[in-house]
Amino acid sequence: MIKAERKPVSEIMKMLSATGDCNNVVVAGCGTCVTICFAGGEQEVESLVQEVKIADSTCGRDPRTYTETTPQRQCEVEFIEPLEDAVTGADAVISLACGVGVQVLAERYPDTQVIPGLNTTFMGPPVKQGEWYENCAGCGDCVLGWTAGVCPVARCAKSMMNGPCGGSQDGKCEVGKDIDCGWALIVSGLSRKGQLDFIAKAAKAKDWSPSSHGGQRKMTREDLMI
Amino acid sequence: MISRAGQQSRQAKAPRYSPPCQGGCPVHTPVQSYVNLVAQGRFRESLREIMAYNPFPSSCGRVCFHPCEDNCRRGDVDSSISIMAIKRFVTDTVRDSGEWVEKQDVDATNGKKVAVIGSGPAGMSAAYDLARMGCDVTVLEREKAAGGMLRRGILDFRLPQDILDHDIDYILSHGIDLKTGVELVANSEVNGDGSKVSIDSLTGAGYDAVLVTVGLSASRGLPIPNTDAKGVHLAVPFLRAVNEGELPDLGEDVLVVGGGNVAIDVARSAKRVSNGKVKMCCLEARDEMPAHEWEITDAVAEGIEMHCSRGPNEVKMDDTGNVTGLEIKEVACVFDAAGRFAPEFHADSEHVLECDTLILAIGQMSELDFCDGSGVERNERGQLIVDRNTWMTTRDGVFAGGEVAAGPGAAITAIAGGHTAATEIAKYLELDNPARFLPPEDQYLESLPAETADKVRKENRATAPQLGVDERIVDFSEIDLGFGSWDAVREAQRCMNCAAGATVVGEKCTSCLTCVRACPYDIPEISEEVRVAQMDPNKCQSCGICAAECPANAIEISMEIDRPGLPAFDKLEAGQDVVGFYCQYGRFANPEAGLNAKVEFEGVQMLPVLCTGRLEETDILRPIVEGAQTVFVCSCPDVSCHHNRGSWRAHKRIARAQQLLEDAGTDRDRVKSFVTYPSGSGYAPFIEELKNMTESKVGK
Ligand SMILES: Cc1cc2nc3c(=O)[nH]c(=O)nc-3n(C[C@H](O)[C@H](O)[C@H](O)COP(=O)(O)OP(=O)(O)OC[C@H]3O[C@@H](n4cnc5c(N)ncnc54)[C@H](O)[C@@H]3O)c2cc1C
Ligand code: SF4
Ligand code: SF4
Repeated sequence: MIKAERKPVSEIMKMLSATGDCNNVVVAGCGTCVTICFAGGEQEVESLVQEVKIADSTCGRDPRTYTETTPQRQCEVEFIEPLEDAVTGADAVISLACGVGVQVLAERYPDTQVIPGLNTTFMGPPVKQGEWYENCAGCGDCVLGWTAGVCPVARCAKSMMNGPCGGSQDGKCEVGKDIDCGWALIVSGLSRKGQLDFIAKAAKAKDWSPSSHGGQRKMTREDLMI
Repeated sequence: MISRAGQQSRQAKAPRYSPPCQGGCPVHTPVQSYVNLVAQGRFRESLREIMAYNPFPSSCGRVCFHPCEDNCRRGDVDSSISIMAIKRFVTDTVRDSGEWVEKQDVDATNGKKVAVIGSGPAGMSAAYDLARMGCDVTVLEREKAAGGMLRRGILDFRLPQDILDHDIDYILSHGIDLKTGVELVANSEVNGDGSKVSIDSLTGAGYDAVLVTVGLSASRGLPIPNTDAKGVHLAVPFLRAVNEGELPDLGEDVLVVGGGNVAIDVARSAKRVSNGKVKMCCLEARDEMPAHEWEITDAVAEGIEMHCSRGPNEVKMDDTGNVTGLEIKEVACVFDAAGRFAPEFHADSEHVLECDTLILAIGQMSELDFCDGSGVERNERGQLIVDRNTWMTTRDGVFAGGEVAAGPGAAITAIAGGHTAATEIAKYLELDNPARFLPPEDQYLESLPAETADKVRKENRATAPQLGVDERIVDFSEIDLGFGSWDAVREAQRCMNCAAGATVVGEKCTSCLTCVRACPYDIPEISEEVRVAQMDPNKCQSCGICAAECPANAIEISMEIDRPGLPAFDKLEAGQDVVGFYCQYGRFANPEAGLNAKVEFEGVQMLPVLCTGRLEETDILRPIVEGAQTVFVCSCPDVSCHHNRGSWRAHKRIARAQQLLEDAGTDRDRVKSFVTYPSGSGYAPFIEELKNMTESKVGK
């Protein structure tokens, strides 16, 4: 799922003051991906409001009024329509959704200042409670079947498609000792399966047009349209 | 809050349960609540809970057979909570403070007159309920003092008279008129001075309802030869005589026949008034004896000899008609294959157990002569005929309750019978809300599954001290000495808060698995059926850790007592700018420690938490948002955390709260963390720091 982390409160405050007085603020969480990674769920909404209040009182600012809300998903208009009164009446909305949600909100309510409260980081799973890693870059042309289930786009710092670079040392990436070399994992995975010859298939020239290099991506399914 | 639009209800069906201790109690005393209040050092409030449906708290704290403890799920882990001893501690402590709980509200008079015959626990409980409903209640008792078998049957070494008086005085203070020395008799026996009344004379005197709670006041005899020999006594008159100080001469050797609790009481009383041997004989084998195990153990410890599996055959006497012994036969078996009472004896096994006094304690029965000509009828076995739904006898407006109606039981069963009878009378009299003093029924948890019990920290049960055996048998001094306050609090802290645990608000749950991973007892599961987390209420240990971790705020912890385990910071009172959360299981539960901190450090709001593992960082920061200068959290050391990982989790959240403070541009030290050991260490440095915190405020 999508991962994100909270921006430092100082950055959020900076955007708030740039917007103007902002006495009436909506803080909107999102009840799906960012709840699960502890960045933007109901608990984090409450926590951010507390932090802003403490920051305000530390610098002697008068209290603002807050509306806290956590729709199931900010990325679907139907879920954010019920927020209309609160959002249109607010001086600013701090959105604790991923960038997708922030934009849907901003587009739906173009006259309100929408401030992102999170940095959207990557797509990936938890390794264990409290630790996550990136493992998919959404390249639009999946090769995992040829690479022992390890993504060379997301897990190789250079997104190499034809084997490790010279910086791979003892299974680690030259970018950092605590980063596994994606290609070392691919090679050991393929060896275990007796599929080392698959590398040649993966190494074929990759079509990057379905990835972000082809401009904003869109999808349509005629059969689903209502 | 704006609700989540468009989302279907995924609420899992979660029936609410109550703890089994409460289910075991015939009046469904809210055991968990009162035990928990003791765990927090809140004794007076605890007493109010104890008295929810039990107007005999002091007496029951001493003599109840405590079915709550039999049901207590601590017993599935190590051993049950000493619930009765905790109750006794609470009643003693509040009584000794000189200020008992306030009187209950009494409705304006409704003009209905009710006569209650018999002042045992059943009659007094019914009178208490009816008086509170606004009836004009008179209790008629043929003895000199109220209390029934609690007074005449149970002697001071188990229940001192002044303790019973205290319960009774409180009940009477609700406007009940007690008339002692008044006996219910048949019409033909009624006399003019009011000391003998009949059902007809009572209804003639304007009573709208009569409740008969005369108990089982006569002892049964034995159908064997020579029971009229001198020196042969019946249990109830014997106990009454001992109680009134009219000591019979028992000689050197006393034999008590019977194997139940009353027989044990008789033998133990005899031990205290005779200077010789006391022995008991009964039909049952030692492990079949109907007396409670702890009563038997106490009796044996006091030197009473047990002759089990012996059936009485004939009383032996000398030429002057004095008893010399009891011929007995050896019992082959007491019960038949179907478990029915059908004793069989070994042939030619007769022999004599010698004695100077023989006391028969083989059961009680009611005395119902007052029925003659009254329209209140008896069945072929001589028992009152009572409708088991309405508790009305065969005469309209005449009800029966307690042992005379329901058969032999215990004080608390009789109290329950009193509530039921009062409810039925209130219905009959068409009073408003007639069942308002009837303990409500609920669904109760079953025993704790072994896989969860294995994961719960083991903690030894504390038992209250007793007088040494040598000191006991010389007089009627009370044997049980009761808990000291710290012992009571520690024992109360062993309670596992069964059924007060986690429930999931299905609409909010994102199935993120956090609770599944965080629970120290491996209880939450993502239900395949509704795809949200579910906690088996039968297993949940109510630690609250999952609720604090859940990023969707989808978990609620239920606790019925008013300041629940979750911190209830509301607002700062005037002059306060320090708020402290402390683990209810730790050092602060010690009433003295807690009070010191509260009294000495004005300006500090102390909030107990049922394990600091329940605190979310938003709980920790909320007081600061509301203007507090400092918040501190006192947790227990990890090794003694009641919930294994609770204080460990708390430390992580404290660190996170400190980080958030720093990010917000203020001093991270406005949140402080202390570890205080239940034994006391760590407490002094904490107090020093607390002084600094409050002084620094004064300086500002
Ligand atoms: C020796 C002994 C020990 C016991 N120990 C325990 C124990 O440890 N724990 C426990 O829980 N229970 C114990 N019990 C049981 C408990 O005492 C009874 O269950 C309870 O007292 C029954 O209550 P009741 O109100 O139905 O009747 P009782 O308590 O018997 O009260 C009936 C009252 O009616 C009065 N009365 C009778 N006839 C008349 C009349 N014609 N006119 C006017 N008044 C009348 C009697 O004097 C008596 O006061 C013990 C009982 C005995 C006998
Ligand atoms: S542990 Fe506490 S709540 Fe559970 S049954 Fe025992 S006394 Fe009741
Ligand atoms: S974490 Fe605690 S409250 Fe939550 S399910 Fe487990 S035992 Fe129950």
